[in-house]
Amino acid sequence: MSIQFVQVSKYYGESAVFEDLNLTLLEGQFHGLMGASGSGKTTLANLLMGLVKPDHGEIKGIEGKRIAAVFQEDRLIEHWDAVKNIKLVCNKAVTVQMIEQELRQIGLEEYSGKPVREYSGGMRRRVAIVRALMAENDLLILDEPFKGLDEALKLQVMDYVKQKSIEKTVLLITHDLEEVNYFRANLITL
Amino acid sequence: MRKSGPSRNYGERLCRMLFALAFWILIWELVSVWVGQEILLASPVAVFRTLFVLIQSLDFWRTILFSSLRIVTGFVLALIVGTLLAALSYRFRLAEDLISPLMKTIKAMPVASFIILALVWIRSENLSVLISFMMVVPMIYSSVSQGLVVADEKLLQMARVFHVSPLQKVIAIYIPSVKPFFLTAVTVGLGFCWKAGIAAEVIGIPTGSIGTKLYEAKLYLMTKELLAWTIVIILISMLFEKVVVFLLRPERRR
Repeated sequence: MSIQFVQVSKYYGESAVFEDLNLTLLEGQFHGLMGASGSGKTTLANLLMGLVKPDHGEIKGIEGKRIAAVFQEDRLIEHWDAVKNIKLVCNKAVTVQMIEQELRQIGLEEYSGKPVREYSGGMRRRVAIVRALMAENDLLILDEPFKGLDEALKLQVMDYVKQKSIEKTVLLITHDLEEVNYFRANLITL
Repeated sequence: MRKSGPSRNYGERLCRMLFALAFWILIWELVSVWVGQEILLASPVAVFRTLFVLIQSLDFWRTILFSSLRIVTGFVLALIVGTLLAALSYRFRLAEDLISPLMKTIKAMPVASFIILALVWIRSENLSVLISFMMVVPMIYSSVSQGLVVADEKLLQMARVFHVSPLQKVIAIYIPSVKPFFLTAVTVGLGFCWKAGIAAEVIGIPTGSIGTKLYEAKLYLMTKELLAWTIVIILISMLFEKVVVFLLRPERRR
């Protein structure tokens, strides 16, 4: 079932982040959300995740949906290693071996046993991405997931995300139109 | 062969500590010679001789066991109850409204008032359990509360989005946030509960306790015994602190 924003408004104090917003996220499709800084992209993601409530309007089709996200910040448990961080959000059927296999695909196998606070920015980002992709989800929200990755690595990670998100409902928040085109995403602008 | 860095540091620290100890014992000796009356201030040699005699008796060890068991029981209960109350207050506003003023009152109340009040309610041999509990519980409560309040909001949001179980949330987010506050409270609280527990025994004079030995030493002007027991209390308190830090800080074991 699609997710629909119907006449949604959100205010912080006196100022409106957006007013009477209408948009639809189609089930099983990849969406790219673009907009200038401060246009409300992250607020929109927070509304979907239930972290903030709309002041007016309604978001239809979101109830009961399992959401996985890559946040703007990595939001990892610093003293835990990559495997433990990922295992935290996965169901019991996901084994350590399965997680290690995913980490291998993204070039992190050697570091899987070290606490993530010892990782570089790019490595932490990749852990956050694998975590979101391995968690059970009906909606995947990616808030600037490739930020801080160098070009070669970015392509590798984008390819990995593409493979893992086939037929999933995805919302990619980005400033980069090339990323939207790479995923052949439905473009939404704020 | 030269010693490695950490062990050389440890050796240096030990030497400096022994030097400071020897310095203050020398000062003590000089002051006791100057005072010239053992009843006012016994010399370190006389006190250590008394201590040596004391440790050879079974009664000495029984006395230590009696007081230690009760004070440590109060302390452990305070750790458990203080943590649970802090968790309740964090979770439920009403619980915070009810518990917080109570903790502040207990914290501000003089130990002596507590001891005298408690003597009305309970038997003197259990007095030190209650008093050490009362001294530590508000410390643990406020420290754990502080740690819970400063738990990383962004990590909590992440846990909420991913539907992380409450137990996992506690392990991954709350415990690391609370730990430094808790450890400080435990170290400070342990010293406090020994002081308050012994004070309770001095007032309640339960048979076979360290406090009673102190009371008797004061009553019969046995300054040597008084100082010897004081040294024992300091040593036990330090030993317990080391044990607790060892148990709670795995990184210190390496």
